[in-house]
Amino acid sequence: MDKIKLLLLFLLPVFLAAQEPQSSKSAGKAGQALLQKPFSVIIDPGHGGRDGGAVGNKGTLEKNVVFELATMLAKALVDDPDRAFRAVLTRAEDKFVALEDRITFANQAEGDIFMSIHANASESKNDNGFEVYYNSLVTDDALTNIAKRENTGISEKKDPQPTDSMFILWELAQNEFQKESMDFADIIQAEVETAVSAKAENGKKILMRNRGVKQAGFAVLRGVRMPAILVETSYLSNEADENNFKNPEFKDKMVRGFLEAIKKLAAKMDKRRDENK
Amino acid sequence: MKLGAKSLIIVFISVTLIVLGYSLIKIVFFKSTDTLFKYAPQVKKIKLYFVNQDGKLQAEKREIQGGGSIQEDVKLCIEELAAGPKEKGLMRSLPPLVFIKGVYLDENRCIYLDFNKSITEKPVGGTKREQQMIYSLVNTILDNFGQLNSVKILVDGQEIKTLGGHLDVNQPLRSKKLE
Repeated sequence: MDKIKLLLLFLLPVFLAAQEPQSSKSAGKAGQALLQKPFSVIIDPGHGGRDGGAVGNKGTLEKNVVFELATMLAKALVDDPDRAFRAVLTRAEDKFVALEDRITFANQAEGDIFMSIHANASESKNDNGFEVYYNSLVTDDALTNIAKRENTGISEKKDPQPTDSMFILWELAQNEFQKESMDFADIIQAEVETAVSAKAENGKKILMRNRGVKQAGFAVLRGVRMPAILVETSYLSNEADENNFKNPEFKDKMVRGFLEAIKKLAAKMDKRRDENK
Repeated sequence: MKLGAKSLIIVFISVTLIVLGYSLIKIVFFKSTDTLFKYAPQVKKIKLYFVNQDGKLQAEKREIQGGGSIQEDVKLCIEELAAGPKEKGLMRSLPPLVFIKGVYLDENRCIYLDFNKSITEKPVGGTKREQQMIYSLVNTILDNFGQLNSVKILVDGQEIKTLGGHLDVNQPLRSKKLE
């Protein structure tokens, strides 16, 4: 019974999101946009309910700020005049959702891409900035470097690795979405950097450190059958980063960066699919 | 009859040689394994990884009175790590009230660290904090005990998916530098 309730809760935003693009298109581009199959974006606001996630020194809760960004992004996607998007949230309210349920839901919703949104925290108050992760099946530095080279095509001919490394690389090669996840992470990183660092009308610039694209074994990215990334928007444990969340312009710019990146990735994936037809 | 007695003697000698040979190999093999994982207690120089001002892991060197096995020494190392740093500028990587309940070793040289629930119940939040916690443990163990291949984290004797909702720890872990 609980599972049915959970499914209904999830299906409601799916339904709303699927309907919304049609009504929000401008008349001129609506016809063209409707001809396209909506590009489906699964947005996963991290944490929720009893799991508040990171807490800033001024009390900012990760679960709240990432939910705000997720809903802003969903709206920006369905309102986009250039392309038909379907935005689906893995949680539609302040509720705890287990990682396994998020993965199952994303796969059942048949998304084209999966994006988990988080805010970071460190023991050090100096740690700050924005970073994007894609999944790593490997856990140590040496193997991560090998895997990176394999995925970027800069692989070198080397002696056979120990059995467990071979197994991991074999697993990695089987992951058909690894390359697209890397592309997704790179594009998000670049577009958010561009959007946030753009000067405002008053000439002021928001300061945000770009920490780059990284790999790690995130539980929520494992098992998702689509290109998937996890965005760490900033560090709530850092005073300046936490203050950024109190600035609406920062959130607008970050969402604009997300939107532009998703549009670019959608165009890239469309092109690749057309070529494969 | 004489032939039968000779055959019996040959069979007896052969069996005796095989049994003695096997016992000898067994003694030599277990002796070499014992020196890797069981040894006389001695003073050990260890490196403990704590968090520095840049959020990276930094080693603090200490000397401890070691135990008679790798399990005992690993437990001592984790207890030192849980007690926190002594050097200025370093910060603890494990939440307070975390303690290690047991240490086990498997045939793949993976060491299992069994913690109390505080390691997951005290929410610290943030991927970076989770990485700092996980890799301070893993790097400390694998840096001090070269005979081990990997580390696995348990809570109350059970496997867990994550410590704080981010990184998958339901698998053997190996060393990693934090950026």
